[in-house]
Formats: sequence, structure tokens, C-alpha cells
Amino acid sequence: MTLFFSNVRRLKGAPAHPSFYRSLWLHALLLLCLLWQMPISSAKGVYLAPRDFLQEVFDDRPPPTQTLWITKEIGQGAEEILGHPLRVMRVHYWAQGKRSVWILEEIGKEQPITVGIVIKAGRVAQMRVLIYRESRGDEVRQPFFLDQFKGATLQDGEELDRTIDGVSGATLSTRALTKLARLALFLDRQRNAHGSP
Amino acid sequence: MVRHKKHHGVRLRSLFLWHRYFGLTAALFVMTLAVSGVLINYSDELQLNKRPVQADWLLDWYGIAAPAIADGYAAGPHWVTQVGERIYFDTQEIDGAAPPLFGALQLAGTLVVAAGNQLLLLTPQGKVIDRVGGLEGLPENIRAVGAAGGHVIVQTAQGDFQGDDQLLAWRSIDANGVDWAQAAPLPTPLRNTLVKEYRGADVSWERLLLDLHSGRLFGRIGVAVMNIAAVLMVLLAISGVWHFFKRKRR
Repeated sequence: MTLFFSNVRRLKGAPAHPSFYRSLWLHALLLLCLLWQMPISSAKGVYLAPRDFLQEVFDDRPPPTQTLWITKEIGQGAEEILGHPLRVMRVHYWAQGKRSVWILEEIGKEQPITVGIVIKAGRVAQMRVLIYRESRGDEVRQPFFLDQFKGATLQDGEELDRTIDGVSGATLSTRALTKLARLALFLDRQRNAHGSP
Repeated sequence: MVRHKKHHGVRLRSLFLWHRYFGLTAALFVMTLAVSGVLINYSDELQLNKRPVQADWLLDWYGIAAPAIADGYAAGPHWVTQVGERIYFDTQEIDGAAPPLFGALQLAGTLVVAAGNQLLLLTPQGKVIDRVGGLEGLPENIRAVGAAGGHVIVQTAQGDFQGDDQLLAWRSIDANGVDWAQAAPLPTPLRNTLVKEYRGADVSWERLLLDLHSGRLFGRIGVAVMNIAAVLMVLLAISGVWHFFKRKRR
């Protein structure tokens, strides 16, 4: 540290001495070594197994799996939300009373993010990132981000009734989660419209 | 004073000489980095991540060998095959299917593929209808898939199970007269196409450019060379600026 401040003093106009440049190189080398040693953390992980999420939501007694067939109309709506067609023609959900649970996936940058979404009376009651496969951007699993979705509902154009503040460095993951919240609300509305219990 | 000026001139010339050598050495790398960098920046627009590299010599360079293809499963007029870690419906990779492949069959116009820890239901065109796994009640440790009496049967380490019409509820059965999916040799043209398909799918142009940019294309030595080139470019910048101010001072 003393060396550093002595360098700063020298930078303020004093004539450069060879030792000044030597110490400057030393500092650069030290910085490189520090960067080299910095741990590279991975954001990947199963944070909550989908089965455990269901157990948690339904107090260890999840209802049987139900399915929603993706008709042409539903498929078009889903495609407008996602920006691409759904990857399956039949979606699973679990419902009890006014609650329905959707375990959905959407690609953030390169890998799918698995998210569990609880919808209650047409609003997002809970949202959890269950499996995150991207190498970075997993801050979207933190409550400070996910809590923004609580109470959200769909308005015209299948948009959320609120703005979701993104997480810097996780723009694509933020976008993927927002799409999934919209999709879950949309699918829940479809299941009600199609007379599912 | 004269000696000092002469000495100063020699130092400046020597600095200029070093600057030229750094420049000459770094030129090739600057070109490589600049061109690959610009292309990487426009990777999405140019869809480079979706364009597979198909040149055999480049795939050989990456060491992507054609995998040994095991026999496939005939499901109606179609074939379901595992190639490496991918599962194919004819020549099209099945979205979301993970190995190992345990079997495939056609039942009432729907293809049922048992792979990894799930059953995949496909249309005759290969579009995924649904994926059914443990979360939906599918028994674990599947070893084979078959059909009996219009129902799908799975053989697991815990016994045989019969699925309901939706394949969302399973009950244990004593399986008799089950028509289990049997592996069979693939037709040669299909086998050849699959080898080509598999090799080409692994390396995109984006991957190639990223590896060229970082030097990884040439292994650890390539990365080291690129690091040295980066240092050279820094030295080039420093010596250039230094030279500029020294000349200005004169």
C-alpha cells in the first residue's frame, strides 16, 4: 500500500525514476495475479426439486396431476407471450380450490430455467425458481426480485399489471421469468374458461 | 549537453524500433481479434449460434468423432435412435429427451419413447405432445417399455406398471403377453445421415469464433499465445503514447 501511495506522489509531476516504473510493473503483475486467483462461481443448481415445491405448496398432500391441452387458440396466446411456440402440446398443472400450480420452463440465454408459480384467484400468489441452469444471473431466484410478482395479474394484451424491475446482469433471466408469470396467469385463465376444476 | 541529446536520440530510436516490432508481431492478432470480435457482436443477427460447422477438417480438429450408433427402435414407420447423448426421431433430434433410450413404440397413432427418467409422447411428425416424469407419477428406474391391451407398460427395477390413458396414473401389474419394444439394426442410409447430423450439431460458427477469439481453438498454447498478444498490444499502446510525447517534447 505504501508503495502505491509513493507511486501516486510520483505521478504528480515528479521526474520518473527507473524504480517508479519497476514498482508500477509490480503492481500490474500483482493485480493480474489477484484476478487470476478470483474464484469463478457458478449460478447453476437445483434450488428446490419440483416435487418438493408441490409438497410445500399443498402441505404434503399434492392433488393429482391435471392437463391442459394446447388448442390452436391457447397456442397462439402462449406464443404471443413467449415469442415462440410452446414446446409441448399438453401442459401439466396441479389445482386445489382456487389455487393452481404451474411448473414451467423458459430459456434465459441458453438454458431453460424451471419455475414454480402458484396462481390464486387470477393473481400470482407465489413464484420460485426451482432449477437454474445458466452459468450466471441466478439473482432472479432471490425474494427481493420474485416478490415483485406477488399479486400480479394480467391486463389487456396479456401484459402484467405492473412493471418488473430487472436485475442488472440478468436481463434475459428477468425477461424469461416475466414471460413465465404471464404464461401461468394466461394458462390458469384458460383452464378456468375450459371448465377444469 | 550534445552528448545528452545524442543519447536521448538513440533511446528514442530504440523505442521506436521496439514499437515497430511490437506492432508487427501484434498485427496478425489484432486482425484476428478485431474480425472475430465484430462477428461475435453480431452473432444473434447473423444467427451464428444456429449455423453448424460442417467442414470435416474443422470437426476433426475439434476431435468430434462419429459416435458408435447402437441399434434403434422401430415405432411404426419411424425409427427412434440414441446417438451419443442425443435421442433422434428419424433424423430429427427430440427436444428435451435425455439418454439412455430404453425403447419406443407406436400406440394408437402416438409414439411413446422411454428415455432417461421420462416418457415422451410424440405425434407421428415427431412433435412433442408431452413429457411425463416422476413428478407426474411415472415409476422410477425404467428398463423397458411395451404395450399390452392398448395400454403402455413400463418395466422397472420395482416391477411392471401399466399406465392409464393419459399416462398420469400407474398401477403395478403382473405383465403377461406384453409386446416389449425391441432394438433392431438401423437401415444404413439412416445410420449415415445420423452420423453426419450428430457431428454437425456440436459446433456452431459462434463457438468457432469464440474459440478463435480466445485462442482456445489451439488448446492451452493458443490461449497462452493470445495472452502474450494481449500483453504485446498493451506494450504497443504504451510505447506508442510514450513515443508520441517524447517526439513532441523534442
